[in-house]
Amino acid sequence: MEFQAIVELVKNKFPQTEIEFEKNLVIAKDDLIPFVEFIRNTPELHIDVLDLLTAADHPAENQIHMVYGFHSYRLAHYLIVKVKLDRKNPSIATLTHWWESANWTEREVYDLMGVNFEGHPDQRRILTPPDFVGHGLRKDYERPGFFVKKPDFK
Amino acid sequence: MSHDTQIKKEPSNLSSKQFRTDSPLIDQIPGRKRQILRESPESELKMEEFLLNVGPQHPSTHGVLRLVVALEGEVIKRCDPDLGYLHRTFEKISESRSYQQIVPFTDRMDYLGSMNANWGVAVAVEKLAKIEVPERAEYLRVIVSELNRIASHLMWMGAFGADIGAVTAFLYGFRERELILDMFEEICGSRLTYGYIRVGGVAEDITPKFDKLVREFLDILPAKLEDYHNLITGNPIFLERTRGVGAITLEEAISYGVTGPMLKACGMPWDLRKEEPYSVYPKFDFDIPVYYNGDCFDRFRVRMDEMVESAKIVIQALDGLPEGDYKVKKLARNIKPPVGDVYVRQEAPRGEYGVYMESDGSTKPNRVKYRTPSFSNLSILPLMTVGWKIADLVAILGSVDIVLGDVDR
Repeated sequence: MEFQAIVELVKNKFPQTEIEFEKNLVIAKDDLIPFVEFIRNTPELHIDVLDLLTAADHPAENQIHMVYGFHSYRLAHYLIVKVKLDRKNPSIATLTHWWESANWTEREVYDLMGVNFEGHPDQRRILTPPDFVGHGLRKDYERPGFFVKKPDFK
Repeated sequence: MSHDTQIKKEPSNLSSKQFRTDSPLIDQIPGRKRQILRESPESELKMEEFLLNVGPQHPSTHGVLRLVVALEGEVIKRCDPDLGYLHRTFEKISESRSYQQIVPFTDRMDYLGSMNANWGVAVAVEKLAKIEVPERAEYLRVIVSELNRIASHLMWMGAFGADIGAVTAFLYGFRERELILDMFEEICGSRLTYGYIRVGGVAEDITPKFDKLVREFLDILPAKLEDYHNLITGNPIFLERTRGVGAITLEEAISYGVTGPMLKACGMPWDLRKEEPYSVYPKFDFDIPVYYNGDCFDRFRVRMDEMVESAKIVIQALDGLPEGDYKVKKLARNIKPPVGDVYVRQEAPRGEYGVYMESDGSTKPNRVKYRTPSFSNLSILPLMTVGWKIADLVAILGSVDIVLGDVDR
């Protein structure tokens, strides 16, 4: 399906939707679950798989952008959807009830970007050890040095 | 290493399907069934749960993967993969490097399919910065990445055989993979981490010797593939250990985001080279192998057939190689793409390899995400292993074809 047709279809249902870089949809945070149900069940869209789930840090705008990639095997189109979250306390609904692939990818985003997924069944760190402090992909993450305090040679 | 190049040419459309009709053995052996776990606590003999730690230093985990397995007797109740032992923060490092400097890191992610990993990043940068690549470079990219696919599958075949006790296959697979590594050494001087496909083209033009090596290799490949089929595909022990083992349905595979040969083994003939053609793939004639059982044996057959198809593409690309430049003549040292983002998807040996790249207008990307096929394919392992015996765990894990560098990044 052409992107313009998809935009019209989505905008009818979700008027708050914006377009970014002429190819991405930006939806409101609260619209995520109705949006997912809509794209899964609408025969014109027929989204089958959650292909990409990641996040990008934008400290200048004080935002974290969630990036979702939805793909339809039946109609062979691809949809990039973004949700902009507050950087201070990022939190969004989980998609694990719709796709199992959201499980590990959301764990990864939680681990590296510190986004909280409401309702995730098993939100643990996945790539870093359980006792790791901080979230590595945040722009302001600072690697702890080997010497926290400078050794005193006096 | 010397090879007998005098073997008479076999028809190049050798496929596991044909082989299957030749071998009555395959149909005689029934696939194994998943064991149903006993639920009733009324029995006086209570079965205790036994936690087994597999890895991270276990040869059959293909790297550093740790699996915590809960057993009931010999049967797996739960399996919890523990990742991150090879997490090298490539996504973070990519944010502090210029666009050309990112490419060598991707070699280290999927080190068995480095060419494909390079290609994804190169295309992402080219799309962001709107760089046109010469046609010859696209052909060369197709040639090397398809050769890399053959090498990767040969390596996988050997390792999978070794996993389930057929060590001979390991030696055979490595023998032919060596020939491909020789070709890559000829064009880029490196045998594992190539960095050959770069932003704006490829690193070097191919040499006449490379052309000769590729043609020699493609001549002997069908005979070698038949050797593997005779050695492995009809082997009753191999069949007993793979038929029906670790089977998943298509719905499960799609829900978990499984791609590549694992998806094709579930009955979905989906291949990005065919369905969303990129580069010069529309010019070539090739098929997508597909099987319907979704078990370890079908994954094996898909990969064996993919090698044949890749060989077809390589010979077509080599014959139709256009003259011209192999890279963009003048490329800025510091690429400054406009603000925007791009998501590139390609078919790597293990499945769908995606690169999501965000540019903020400076010389460094704001965010790079590698959507690696091994990560998604591994995530279905807890589902696949439940109900199988502990000895099948190794076969199932091997059939996923993970590269831990690709999983942990």
